[in-house]
Amino acid sequence: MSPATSTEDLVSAEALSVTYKVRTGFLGSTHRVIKPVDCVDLSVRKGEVMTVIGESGSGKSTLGFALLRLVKPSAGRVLFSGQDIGKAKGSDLRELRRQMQIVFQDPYSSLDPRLHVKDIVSEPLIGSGMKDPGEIDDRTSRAMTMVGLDPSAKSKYVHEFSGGQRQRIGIARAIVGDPQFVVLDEPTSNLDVSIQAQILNLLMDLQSKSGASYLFISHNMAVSQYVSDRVAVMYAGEVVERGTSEEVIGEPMHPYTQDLLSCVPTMDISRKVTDVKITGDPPSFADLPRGCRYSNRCKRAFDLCKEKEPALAAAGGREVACFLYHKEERAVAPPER
Amino acid sequence: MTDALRVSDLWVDYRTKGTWASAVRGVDLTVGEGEVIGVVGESGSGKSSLSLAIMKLLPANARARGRVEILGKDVVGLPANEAHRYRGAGMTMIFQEPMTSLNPVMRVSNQLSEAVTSRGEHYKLGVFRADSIAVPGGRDPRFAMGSERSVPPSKEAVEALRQVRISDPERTASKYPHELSGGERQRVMIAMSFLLRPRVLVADEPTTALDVTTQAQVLSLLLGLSREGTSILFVSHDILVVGQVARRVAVMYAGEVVELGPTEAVLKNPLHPYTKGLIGSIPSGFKGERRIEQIPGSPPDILRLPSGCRFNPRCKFAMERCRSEETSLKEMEKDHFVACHLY
Repeated sequence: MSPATSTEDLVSAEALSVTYKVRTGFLGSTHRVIKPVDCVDLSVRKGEVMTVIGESGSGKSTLGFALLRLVKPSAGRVLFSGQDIGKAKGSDLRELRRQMQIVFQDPYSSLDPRLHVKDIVSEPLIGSGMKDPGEIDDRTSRAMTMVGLDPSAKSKYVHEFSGGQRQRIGIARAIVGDPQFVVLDEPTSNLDVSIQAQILNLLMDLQSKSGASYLFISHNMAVSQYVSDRVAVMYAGEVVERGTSEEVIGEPMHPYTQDLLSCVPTMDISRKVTDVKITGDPPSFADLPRGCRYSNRCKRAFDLCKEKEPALAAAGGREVACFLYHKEERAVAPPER
Repeated sequence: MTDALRVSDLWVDYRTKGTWASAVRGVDLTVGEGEVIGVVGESGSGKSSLSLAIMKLLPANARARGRVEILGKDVVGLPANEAHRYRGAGMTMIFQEPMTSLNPVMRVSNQLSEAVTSRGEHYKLGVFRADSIAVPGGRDPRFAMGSERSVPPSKEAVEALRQVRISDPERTASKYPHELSGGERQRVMIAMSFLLRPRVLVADEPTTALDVTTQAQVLSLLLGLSREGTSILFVSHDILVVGQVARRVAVMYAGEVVELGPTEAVLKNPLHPYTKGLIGSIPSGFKGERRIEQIPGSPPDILRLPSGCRFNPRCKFAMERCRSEETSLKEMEKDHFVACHLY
């Protein structure tokens, strides 16, 4: 599915779907099923930074959670070094958990206010079965030093730290067990610009030193461009364009990617985002348009777009799901389990 | 050009731990009629306190000193029962979180009609010039208890929603805020501003909670409002967003304006080391092309401000003088001011 390459996949999602039940009606008396991740194929190669770009409600965070088995997929599977993570149990699963970590968006709600920093950071080690207190302490100190925190702050509580430092604690927790795969769910979107710069540089240093694979989840184009080797653009639960960062962000082909990028303010203030004639909001999963999910907002939509859904297929060196470039249709999603 | 908003030597202090801590320290700012001015700063820079002081919406543990003139009338010393006359058609604020700024138990159309009614009252009170808008007399039945369901959305409400490019405005007008997306809610807030046609609009991070595609739409609506004569103080942490709408921009740090100038000059030729750092820390380029600059440390706590220039502990150009002597704004180029001992 991904472009031909000699590099090996570390994590790959195959036809992955996630469904949620949403309560509706009077006091939640009825419910309906929405599909925030709809038959997505995605791979993260060894040692690369892959970014999933999308607006709120595009399903990007749910995809990240499903890759870590934090939510259960309704169809499809996730392979980690060839192993189906949905089937792992017991000590295999504990080992997988050590290998796959996450840094959350909000450094306030994702850290336990009643724990000392050392207890937060060392939790993945203890969870993976490490017992030697000396080794745990040693590795905790090392992780804290790596993220630029003073190990002498080990016995402090989270509330004694600023937002940027809290995010460093979250990163230390993620890297303490030397994971091979880290999901970063908008790790800098709650931070000030100057602090964001510190955290991005730190993450890039850690990634190149450790050689781990990162899946970055972001709605910020400039950040995505800065950190990624490859990017996947998500819209309404589907990947609509995927390729190297130079291809997709440098020369976007999907009309959504093009519109998205044209809305991003840059240093060139003569290029006005206010001139962009994009209308409406991303669709809700409960009410998806017929055919291509972007067809109701797309300036270049034609009849076919409103009837059939395009499949992600090779075009211009990357993959695009758009009838402007090929006529391949999306296969009907496999039945839900 | 006359000034719609003139802020002079404004201080905002908060009572905390038995002492007063200043979040805004002697800010001077003017906004001309129909002008958009950007205020850029990180969290704790005092930009939100500045907005609240202008609106006279500071919490009870805060006090404002100095002058805030709206169309020549000082509002700082105004008693609370008179200040509300200025809010609405005089000055309006758009907040970052549109969920908490709309009334959750009131239909959108009724909230918009309330704006019309209050505008009418403003004119009746003679605070602002009246124009040809019909003023509903007496208590509006739409706001009576239990009548939420029965009244069809008013024409003005639907028209205002159409103006902010909400698709199917009739249906949206009869919805409650929780049925709308974040972008739609923020557009309802702006529709309200369109109805009020305020002289001064304070927009505090109006697009921060929105996606970029929605942000672009909201920015263009705000520009439309300014073309109709509304003066806008656009407050944001994102200098690039400000660059899209503001003619001039003020950069705030630790409660003070450290740089003020035409947007293009500030972006292309920043003078203050903090502004330089702020622009340098915006990610740009592809992976591995260049490393973004980072400002070391974090913004100071207003209870423990460093002496001299507030930025000196984080500044790579700091000299002896910066640690002892406070800075003040100096005009370096035409209309481009900076508060830094380097100049």
